[in-house]
Amino acid sequence: MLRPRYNKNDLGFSLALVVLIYLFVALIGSTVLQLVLCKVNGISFKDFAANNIDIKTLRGYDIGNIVLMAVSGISIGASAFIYAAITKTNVVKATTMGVKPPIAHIGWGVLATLFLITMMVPLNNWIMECIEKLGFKKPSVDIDMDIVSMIIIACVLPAFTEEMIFRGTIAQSVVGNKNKLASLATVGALFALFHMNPAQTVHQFVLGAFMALVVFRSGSIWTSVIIHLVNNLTAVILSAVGGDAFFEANAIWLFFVGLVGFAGCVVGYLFTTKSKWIVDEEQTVGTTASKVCLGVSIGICAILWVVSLLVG
Amino acid sequence: MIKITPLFSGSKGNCTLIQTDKTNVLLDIGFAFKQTMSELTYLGLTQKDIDAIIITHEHTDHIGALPMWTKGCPTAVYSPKNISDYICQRTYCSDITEVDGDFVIGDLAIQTYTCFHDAQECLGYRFSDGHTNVACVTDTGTVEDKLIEFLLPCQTILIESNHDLNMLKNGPYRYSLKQRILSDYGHLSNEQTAELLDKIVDGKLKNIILAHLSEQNNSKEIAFSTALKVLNKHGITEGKDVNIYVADQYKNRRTVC
Repeated sequence: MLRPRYNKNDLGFSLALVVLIYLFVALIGSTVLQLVLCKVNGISFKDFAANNIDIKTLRGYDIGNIVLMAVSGISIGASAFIYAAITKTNVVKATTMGVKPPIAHIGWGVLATLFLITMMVPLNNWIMECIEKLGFKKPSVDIDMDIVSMIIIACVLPAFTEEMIFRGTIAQSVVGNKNKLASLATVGALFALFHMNPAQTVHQFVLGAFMALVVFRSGSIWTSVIIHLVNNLTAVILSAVGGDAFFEANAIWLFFVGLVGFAGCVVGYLFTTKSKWIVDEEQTVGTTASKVCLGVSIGICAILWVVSLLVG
Repeated sequence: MIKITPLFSGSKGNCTLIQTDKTNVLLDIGFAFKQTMSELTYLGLTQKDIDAIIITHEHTDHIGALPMWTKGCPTAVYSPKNISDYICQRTYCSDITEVDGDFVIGDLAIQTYTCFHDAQECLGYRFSDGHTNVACVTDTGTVEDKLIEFLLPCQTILIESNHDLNMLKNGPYRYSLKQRILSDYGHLSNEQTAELLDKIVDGKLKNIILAHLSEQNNSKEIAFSTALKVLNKHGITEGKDVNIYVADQYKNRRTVC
């Protein structure tokens, strides 16, 4: 008799799927973009590759880049839905998309995120300086896009798509672990590693773990979607407004104000809100196949993280 | 005669004492070590009196106290073959015997049943001293003919009655956990256990121990009444023809024989 297994969230399989889909789309997408831009600009792909032509100088690059980033972003979110389809899981229930987000959790989450950014802007700058001092190329955190496209493609879209896979799917596979801190650290680490951006790794780790905390306690993915959106929007607004001199002059003060504010918000959040976080009564052991998938996925992301550090 | 004493039973940890005049065996050791020792002391036993620990599967609620126990006493451990390496990592100075079929401990002949559970391997056990048969089957998500055949020769069964369907569906557990428990590889609900009892109560059965109740998704009263309905349906009087005992998570101190 054929017996169906239950449709569980598996850390290794779900991470492997998003890494595979994202890299596949990024690789195919960038190749297609180069081919299309060569055709539009009337140059052969051979010449383009041989003469080391800067793709950013080609006509149509801006729109092509926006489309590529949008498709890449959508592919990240799509992996959550593909994973649910493969495992025959109700995606709305599994990702907690159907749960109304509690206002108090959103409030504390947004406030904490604003303090986190206040702390992380100077910290990210220090990290970038350190990377440069170590002899590597200074990492770039700039995105070549107009402000409207940036808000849609780099703020709103990832806030939804990344949350669907990271907090809605991957994090749901560790939410039942008895060691709660380890669960949060796992989600934060995988989120940071997946972004493959050494300059923002610390920020993404803390933000990823904090958003996991809020999703686990609130029981709704929408709390982290909103927090992620606020984080992205604030970063875009800050980069648009400028104020580098202000941040540079007050770096230490801003760092400590942000640190104390963020810590205070986390404590306030933990003590004033009701938690829906339930750990599993019986702890299951992952399969070998799942562990291999997890290891390979982490390995690929780690290699790309190092490449990103070397290339800048 | 085989005596069975559930020491701890539920999702927070499981441990059952199986005894004959010559042999004492612990089935699983998933509750806190201190409390386990306290219950054994109450029964007049020490660690050295236990001839073997038999493991059903590798989940923490079944092996949680195994490292602590084996640190102080090299009791023989019997583990399902596929998880013996995993059990080995959590055991200190005990010999581990891989269970891969029928085996004997003292005057107990033991047969196995492969459960449908989200574990690498999960076994139910039937103990026989040549006169009586006692079976313990928890952590299985499916009632199948093979299970019924396994339980039919028994005078006493310790069977899982994990959750009430309505309590689980409307309870606080997240979706994936509910799916896991409800699946063919999860746990038996009160209703599934009743379905199983319906097919075996007319046999040799004298004692039913309902075990592995979920604290969140079940109550002793609901589990008992669901099983009682089956007895009533067959015209069997509870307490006279067949006894039903609902095992408690923390304190039982009741030996069934």
